[in-house]
Amino acid sequence: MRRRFPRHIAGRILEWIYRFSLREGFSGDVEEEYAFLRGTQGRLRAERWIWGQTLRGLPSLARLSIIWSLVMLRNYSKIALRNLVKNRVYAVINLIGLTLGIASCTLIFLYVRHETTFDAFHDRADRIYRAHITEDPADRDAFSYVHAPYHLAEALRSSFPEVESTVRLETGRDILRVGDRSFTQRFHLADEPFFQVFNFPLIRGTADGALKALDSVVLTETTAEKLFGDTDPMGSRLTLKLGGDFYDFTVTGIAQDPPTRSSIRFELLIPFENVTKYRARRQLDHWLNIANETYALLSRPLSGEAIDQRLAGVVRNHYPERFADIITLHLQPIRDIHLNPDVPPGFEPVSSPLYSRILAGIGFLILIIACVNFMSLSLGGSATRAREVGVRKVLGAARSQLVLQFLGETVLLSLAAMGSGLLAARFLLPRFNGMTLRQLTLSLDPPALAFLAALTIGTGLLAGAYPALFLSRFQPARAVHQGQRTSGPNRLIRTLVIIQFALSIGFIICTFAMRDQFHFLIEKELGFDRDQVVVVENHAPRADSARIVERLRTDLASNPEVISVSGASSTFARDWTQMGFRDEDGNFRQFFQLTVDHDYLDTLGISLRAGRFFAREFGSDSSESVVVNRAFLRAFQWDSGIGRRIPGPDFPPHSIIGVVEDFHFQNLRNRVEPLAMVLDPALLMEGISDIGTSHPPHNLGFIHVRMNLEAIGGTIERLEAAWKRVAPLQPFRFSFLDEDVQRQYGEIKHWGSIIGSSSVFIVLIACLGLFGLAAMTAVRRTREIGVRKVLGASTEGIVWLLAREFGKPVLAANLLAWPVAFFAMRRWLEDFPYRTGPGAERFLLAALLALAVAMATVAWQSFRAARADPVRTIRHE
Amino acid sequence: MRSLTANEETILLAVLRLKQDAHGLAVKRQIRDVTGRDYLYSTLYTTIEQLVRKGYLDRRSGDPSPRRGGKRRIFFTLTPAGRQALRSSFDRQKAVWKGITEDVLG
Repeated sequence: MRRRFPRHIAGRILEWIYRFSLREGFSGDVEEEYAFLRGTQGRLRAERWIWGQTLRGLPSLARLSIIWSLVMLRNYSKIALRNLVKNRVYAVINLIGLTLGIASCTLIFLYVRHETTFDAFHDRADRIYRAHITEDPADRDAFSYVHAPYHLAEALRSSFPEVESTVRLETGRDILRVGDRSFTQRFHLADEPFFQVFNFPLIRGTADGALKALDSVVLTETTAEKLFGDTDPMGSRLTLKLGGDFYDFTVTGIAQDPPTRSSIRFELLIPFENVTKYRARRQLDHWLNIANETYALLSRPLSGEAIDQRLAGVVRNHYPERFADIITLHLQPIRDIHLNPDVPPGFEPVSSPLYSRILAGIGFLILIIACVNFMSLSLGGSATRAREVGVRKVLGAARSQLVLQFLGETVLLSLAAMGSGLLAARFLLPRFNGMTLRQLTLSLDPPALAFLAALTIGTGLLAGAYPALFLSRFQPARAVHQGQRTSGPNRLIRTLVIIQFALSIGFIICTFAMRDQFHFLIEKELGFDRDQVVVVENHAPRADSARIVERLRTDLASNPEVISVSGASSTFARDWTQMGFRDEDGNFRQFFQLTVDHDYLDTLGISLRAGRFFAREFGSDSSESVVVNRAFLRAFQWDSGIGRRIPGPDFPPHSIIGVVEDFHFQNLRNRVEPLAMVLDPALLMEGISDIGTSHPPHNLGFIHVRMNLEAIGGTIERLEAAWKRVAPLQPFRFSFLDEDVQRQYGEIKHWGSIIGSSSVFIVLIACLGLFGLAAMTAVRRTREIGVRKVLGASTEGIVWLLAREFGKPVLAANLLAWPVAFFAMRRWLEDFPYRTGPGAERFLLAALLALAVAMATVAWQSFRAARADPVRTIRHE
Repeated sequence: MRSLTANEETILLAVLRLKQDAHGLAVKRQIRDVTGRDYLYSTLYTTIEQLVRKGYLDRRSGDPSPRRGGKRRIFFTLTPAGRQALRSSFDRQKAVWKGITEDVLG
């Protein structure tokens, strides 16, 4: 019975660091001599002696310890490797499982990191804010927006000293001409300090000079290449249409393309003051007229009380009195923009943190399953090696040796899995980028790598610990005598398999449901005929736009492929103009508005329910006629609309001449809203108090051309030729209506892909778990099977027996999965006013699929076990 | 056969002299008495470990003793290989020191 050197700390140190085989002698001798010295020469002498021994001996002992540990490590590694190669199958399966887990976890980590670090690349990100306004009128709900009045920037600068500078940002899209080529180009307008506040490095030009002159323009690298090819664009001229006229600009800078992680993504930048070229002074001065994003750079981060007070002061001092009470100003930190669901999006789309959370949840889940699988397979693998362990113990292996050996194997395997996991992630990255609509790169900074390494090694240790400790506790005789008989780990693994399959089935059901919903949405009858329609963008201003449409119609009249041509102010899959007014009872009403021409109904195949549509014979139609949809009638609770007028006191005299059937002009995520169609929006503009629009309602900005596209090729080319004749100064930008509609549901498709891919991963991992279970069971029941065969059972009978044993957990998994999947899908579908049915067939299909996969997994093991020679197996005894 | 280091030689000789009683503490004392050199236990035991590994020394456990905190003594004896190593060393020394007397050393 060893006793530590309890009384003396130096002695304990020595004893602890001396790790070699003669430790007992060493420690005992030191203790004995210490006692002797203490007895003969007194305590002080003894203390000095023992401390001398410790301090002087420490360096060499420490050095030798380290060398020895390294040698041990190398030996254990060699042994571990050899063992792994011996049990190749098990090692490979385990490796694959954990690799999958690590790969998916890595990819998802990249995504979540990308989403959560938006806009962090600006040096001054912690001091940059965006103005955000809440309006709380007395008679309506409060609403907020992130666009600000023209003068707010200046008001901020003059109101509080912490504001160093402000940058206003606005965006538009119009015709751009370079030389003799024309494009439609998205452009941004920004105040001069833009490049000094934000981190968008300039390759050419300077941060303080690039936006100085009113006619300067800065291009991104990609845009420069698009417009000027390989030639140096600096100093070149281009012409941009702003409002109704074309203006010249000179290139004064080239900027790097903004990173994907940015809420500000520009292609072409001109100084903000150019906004006066297309907005009236009166409009700009109005404090409720909002169009630009306003950013402020503060000298230090401010929050809470301090900032609220100052902002309230700005409102009091600058907003006209009648608005001051209902306006609240906020400053939103730039890093908050991308993921804050409470603030509406500005010019760039924002992402819901929900997506990141869901993906993170999925990734975490896959990783957990993979790690748990790793552990259970290790356990299973070790169980089949119980005999080997028993033999080694009989031969005198120390328990610690065995534990270390198992740990070594699992840690080695998990480290290998980390390597292959990262490789797999690299390989899968393009597909993942496609699925999530991002451009992520595999860049892992040291903290992330360290975390991954810690996770992997932790998994390896945990995986090795349980079987190591569990097995090495055995009495050798028992282990050699029979195979692993304990039910403890067996039940654990069985439960794990059930959970894994339950998850698999659940995910498969969700995948089916999302696919079904997607197909339902894109195939649903929309109330208009979307096939064979080409939509052409028309950027002619106001009255010109109608003329262009007419000219095109005339030009194409002789073309037999063209069935109908019509212009409208909005089109599907884009924003629609919404108008608001106060009716005679004082209630606030809203409806959507569309400016059309006479051929709209025919071109789009919308049915008329009552009355008539606009007709050329009736000249007064443009000033007095309105056509509404049925939803409009429902909104006002009218039985019929013909002859009625919109009940707002300020509308000029008009009447509703026709009612069309409801058609889905918006995304199917919304019900059909009230819609009013006119030939000339001036009719309505007088009567409304509020308008929200992205496409000016005065312009017939979208021309719908119904053509016979299945005829001989070249139809689009002929259309383009006609366009060039009709509108030579405009580029030809077109799309197919059915594709536009389908693209709206792209999001569902993408999420369906993500869930689908996750299902594949989870199913694979579940199969690996099942495979391990099958291996263990086969070993455990070899003797039983042998006996059965001797008693006359056939191979098929045995296989059936084993199949039943494995089928049961899979079927049990269904019971777990079905309710959860059902509720989850019902909740998701609730967001859609139009949805597919509950789909019982999905559940059954998923169950069958899982069962089939499970059977395939265990088939090989079962057959092998069933065919084993009973003579050999019974001799196991 | 590699020649013994000075430490190894000293320790082997001490074990030789101590016959049955060659445990760590005794060896250390023996060496101090004969040469005046006071070894550290760490140096002593690491060298002894090496000698054991090389097969020059055998080890034998004694009884536990309360004086040692309940630990056993470990006794060392020379193996034939150990003796052979000493003999080679002796022969070499003899050859090398042959004829050197007090006067020659000066």
